[in-house]
Amino acid sequence: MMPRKYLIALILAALFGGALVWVASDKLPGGSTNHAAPSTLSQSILPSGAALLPLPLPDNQPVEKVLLGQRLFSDQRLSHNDTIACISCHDLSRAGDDQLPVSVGIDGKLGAINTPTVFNSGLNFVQFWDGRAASLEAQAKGPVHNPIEMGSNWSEVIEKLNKDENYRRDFAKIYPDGITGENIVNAIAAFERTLVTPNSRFDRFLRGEKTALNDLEQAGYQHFLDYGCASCHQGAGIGGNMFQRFGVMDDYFAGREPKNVDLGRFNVTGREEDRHVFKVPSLRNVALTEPYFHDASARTLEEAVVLMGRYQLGRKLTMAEVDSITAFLRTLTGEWQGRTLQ
Amino acid sequence: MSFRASFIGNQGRLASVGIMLLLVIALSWVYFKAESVSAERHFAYTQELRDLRELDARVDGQLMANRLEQVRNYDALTAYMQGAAQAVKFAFDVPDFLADRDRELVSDIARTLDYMLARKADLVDQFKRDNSVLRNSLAIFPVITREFLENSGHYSKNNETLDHVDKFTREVLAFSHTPSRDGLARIKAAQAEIDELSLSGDLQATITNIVRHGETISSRRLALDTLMQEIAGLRSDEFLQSLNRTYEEGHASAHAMASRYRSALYVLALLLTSFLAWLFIRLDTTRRSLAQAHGELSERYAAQLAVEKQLTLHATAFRSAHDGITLTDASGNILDVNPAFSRITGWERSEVIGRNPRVLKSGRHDLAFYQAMWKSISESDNWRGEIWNRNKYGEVYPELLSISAVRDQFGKLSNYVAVFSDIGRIKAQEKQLTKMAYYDALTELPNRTLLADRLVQGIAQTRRSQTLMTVCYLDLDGFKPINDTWGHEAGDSVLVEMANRMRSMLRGGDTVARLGGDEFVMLLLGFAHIGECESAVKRLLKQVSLPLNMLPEVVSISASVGVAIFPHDDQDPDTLLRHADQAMYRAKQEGKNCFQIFDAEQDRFTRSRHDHVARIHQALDDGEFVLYYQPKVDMRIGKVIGAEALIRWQHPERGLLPPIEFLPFVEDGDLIKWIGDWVIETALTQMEAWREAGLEVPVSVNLAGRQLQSPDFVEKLKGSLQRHPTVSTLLELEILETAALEDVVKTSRVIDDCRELGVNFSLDDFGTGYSSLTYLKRLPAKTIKIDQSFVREILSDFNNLVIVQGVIGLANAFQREVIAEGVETAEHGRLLMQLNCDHAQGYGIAKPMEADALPGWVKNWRPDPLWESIRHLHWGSIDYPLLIAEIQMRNWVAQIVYAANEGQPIQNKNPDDVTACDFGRWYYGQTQIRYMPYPVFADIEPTHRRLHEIAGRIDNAWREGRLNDCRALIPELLAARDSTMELLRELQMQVAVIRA
Repeated sequence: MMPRKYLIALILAALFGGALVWVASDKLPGGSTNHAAPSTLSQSILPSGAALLPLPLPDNQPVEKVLLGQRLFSDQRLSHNDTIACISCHDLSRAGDDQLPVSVGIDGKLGAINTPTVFNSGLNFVQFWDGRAASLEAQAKGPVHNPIEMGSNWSEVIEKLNKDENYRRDFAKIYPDGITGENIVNAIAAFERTLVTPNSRFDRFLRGEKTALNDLEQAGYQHFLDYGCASCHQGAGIGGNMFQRFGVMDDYFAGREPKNVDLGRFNVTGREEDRHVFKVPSLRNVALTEPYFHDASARTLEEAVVLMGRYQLGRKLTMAEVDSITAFLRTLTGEWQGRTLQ
Repeated sequence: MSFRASFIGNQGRLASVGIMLLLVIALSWVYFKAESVSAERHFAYTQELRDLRELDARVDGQLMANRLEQVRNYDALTAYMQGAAQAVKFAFDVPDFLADRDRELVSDIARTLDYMLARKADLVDQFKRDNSVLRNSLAIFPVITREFLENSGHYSKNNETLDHVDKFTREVLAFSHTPSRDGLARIKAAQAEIDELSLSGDLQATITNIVRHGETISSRRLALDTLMQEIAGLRSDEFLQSLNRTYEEGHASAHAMASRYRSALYVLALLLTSFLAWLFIRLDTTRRSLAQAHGELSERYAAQLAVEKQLTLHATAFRSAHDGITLTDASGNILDVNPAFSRITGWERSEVIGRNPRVLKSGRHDLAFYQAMWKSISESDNWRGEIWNRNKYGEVYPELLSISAVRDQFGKLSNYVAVFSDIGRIKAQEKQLTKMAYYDALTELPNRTLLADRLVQGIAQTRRSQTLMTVCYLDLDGFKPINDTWGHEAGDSVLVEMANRMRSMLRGGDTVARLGGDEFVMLLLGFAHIGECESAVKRLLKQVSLPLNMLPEVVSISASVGVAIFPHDDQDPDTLLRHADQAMYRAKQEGKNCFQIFDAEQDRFTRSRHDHVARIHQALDDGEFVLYYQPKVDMRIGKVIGAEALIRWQHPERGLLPPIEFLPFVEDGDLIKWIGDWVIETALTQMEAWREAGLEVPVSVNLAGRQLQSPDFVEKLKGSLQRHPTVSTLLELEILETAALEDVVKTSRVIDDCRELGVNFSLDDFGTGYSSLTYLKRLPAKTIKIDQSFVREILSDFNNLVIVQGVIGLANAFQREVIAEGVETAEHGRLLMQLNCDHAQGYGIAKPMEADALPGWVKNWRPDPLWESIRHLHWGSIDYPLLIAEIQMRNWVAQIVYAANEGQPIQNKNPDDVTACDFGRWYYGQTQIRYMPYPVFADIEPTHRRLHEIAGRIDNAWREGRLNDCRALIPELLAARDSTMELLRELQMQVAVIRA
């Protein structure tokens, strides 16, 4: 009789004590966890007034995801006939593009627009020349489905990847739902976000290493600022954060054969004010990404600078000015994997 | 009270469980309601709204900063705008704890806001474009105008043109600084003025470029202002405030609702707790009362158990008491009686219940007796005394009665208890005690005390009747080995058997008593002369020596009896008994299984054992002992093989005494060892003397058991042998079988040790002990001596013949030598030779002789011719029945001769039937096959038949009372026997095997 009575008392006391502890520990419901969640604000770049800003280091991405993305990036199975990979046009050994006027897609089909570099693409506020993709993930879907690029579709790609035991295993490690279109582009985008090329000579200059640029280059930098280049090519990416009409001060397309891609953002919004409007490209590594413009109309950097001066700035640049500006632009070549891009 | 009843009942339990269930369900429901306003969710949503507001404000700030050239890049602006567009999507996810109406309201506002922010993003995009262009133009405009103005010298000095351009420039700059409708008009006017100028080539291009930039500045400036106004006009901040406010209101009302639920929860919890508390209190109260009730019950139960136990105890005591117990009520009616009551009174319980104990009255006591009894009971509640009562069958018996009155707690008489015991039983016990005092417990014979009494009576009676009274003092021979061999229980059973045998011999007035151990005394009265006494004692001896059947083996033991005859020995009882004892002792000395009548003459010699021992010791010291030697011979080869040394006492007064006269007195002391030593020494010395005289005779010496067991025996023997080295191998030792068996292990070790010294052993008197084969195997004696008591009888006693034959077979089987003692005639020797025993010793060969006589005897001795005739013959065991048949026939004839001489009936039935005798059975049995080939076997038949004819005639003569005729026929019978014997011998000779 007596031991059972004590047992009941003991259990009741334990329950009561446990409840007290539970109540005490939960007095601030979810307080600490909520504070840990970063808000959009804390992540944002601190505003700085200067036109050009040094290139930030890439975000930390999960290693496994990046490695998977890297593998997918160079996997030809993402194309219909296993001939084209992302890397076919975004050749990382060629500064992230193919240095061709237009890329060659599946079955030798030619693209319609100059391929932009994949380096620093994560810094672009939108993707594609006409900004039709809001994110890298959205961008990555494009070429896979484009009939003249990779000419495939998700079900085809997923079926092929599922035959690869390594993919099945590695996807399963990261994604509970395994191989899906969303997960493929997620991994690829994660890899692309690591393709940042910091530590150019200009970056070093901006950080205070005044000897990083020579006089000519410094003069070019000054011209770049003074002549209004930096009005659009500004920020850390030196471009890539706004749209602008091609031919602000003069009609660039007058007398040219009209092509659909020349309509630019108009193709996306259908608004008249967006006709011939393109994303202002980043000038990072610009020295290596010839030919220039969406139509690859400028073969050299000098040519591009002259054309820009004429159509966008409404200014005829002297040879000396062009020389200095191009010299400056060549200091924007950064490093990837510890080596300066070539 | 009624509630408690219903609570305890089944319905009450259902109700309380129902209440609990309802409370718990309500509690849970309210709990979830109260918890629905998640503080976490609220905090997160509020944070989102705050972030959204912050981002929106920052977009506005960045717009302004860029517009005012405080910031010259759009990174931050772009990031904030994208952030805001993203954040507003989160705002769609309105927490669901809001009331539906509130949630819809918040959702609507959020959707509007989303649309608004999308619009704002568009405007910001436009802003970036226009602002860039404006900034660009603003940067270039002063440069190109300055260049133009400074380089105007290159161109023709056209002041008008200069002025116009200058004016345009100033107007544009002014407008860009402070835009106004007038400013714009003035720019237009200045531009118009310039347009009116007709200019040449380069100048025209330069100026056109200036104008284009100026136009760009003004138009973009205006467009930017419009954009800014439009953005401001969106009033996104107000919408955000409204969203926030609306949400907060919704949350507040939801929270208020939740608070109400919490209050309800609290109330419900209180209710439940109170209910539980009430239940617990009730339970505790119930438990306490239960525990109390349980405790009381336990105590009562324990008490009950104790009472029951005691009642059982009392009932057992009541039932099993030896004393009769009667319980009555106050008026004396019997309530209960116990079994002892029924046993003593003969009345069954059912017969006396309800009746008065006066049915037991014997009528022997008068009224006064009973009055005194009741007076005592009423005064002291107690009475005790002897009383005569009558049992159911009318017998009057004495009893010891005790009556007690029982009173209840108020002192009122309630019962009487009467306890009585049958005094008759006590008397019987007294008798039993008496018996124990006068009788031996084992045999139930009178003991020494009662014997003394009877002896006194016997003396008196004998004197009166002028007859003889015989006092037989009887001691069993060889009783101890029975005890030793089969244990005391076997010994006891033998004693009881002996007692019964002696009791069966008693006549009126005779007494047999056991004095203890194996000693008995018989008083036999009323003899006329001493011959009667003797024959009675003989009968006694015979009775005693009959075989005993209760032991594992059939054995016979004898007795030695000492007799004192009164009044020839006119003494007091004690002396008579002592004289009988002394006579018994003499009988023992005479070789047991006999009796001695006390002889007053000899009394002096046998007065006491102590005197004897001292005298014997002195004899040893004085050299009164001598050794006699009895030769041992090999009958077959006719050679003397040795001699046995036998001690004699050359008593100065009594002459030559045999060892039985003195050795029994010293058997148990050290003296026997000294005598033994003397014998060995003397024998060795004698052998040396004979050896010097040219005679080499092995001499065997008898050892006493005690001498053999003495620790230094072997050492002493060794010393003796060393003193007489020339004859040391000629010495043999003889030990009685019975002595060897006392300690077989020790004996066998001594025998082994002696053998190493070259001294061999003989087992003397073999067959008289209880030898088992196992013992014989373990005793490494070289020779077995068959006891003369068997050998002597082999010609007349079929059983002894079988024994001797067995011993010989045994000796052969164990590869021992065998020698027969007690060979008294040549016939003995012949039979032994036929049975394969060639060595012999006995009066038939030579009596023990003095040492001096031996050499001469050896020289002159020749074996008997009878032996010579069969020395080369041997008989196999298959022919032993033939040898035995001879003995059987001889015995049969002897019986008839005895009967004829004595005039008694022939014990054999049908004496004329040739197959009725043992010999006949042998002759007409299986034997025929073996002996048919021998013609002499057939010749036996008529002579045997003639034997039976003569026997039949003797029988007829006896039946007709012609006793003389009976005796006259004896020679004829013997003649027939002899002729039969002759034929038998012939047959024996013919079947024998001739061996070298």
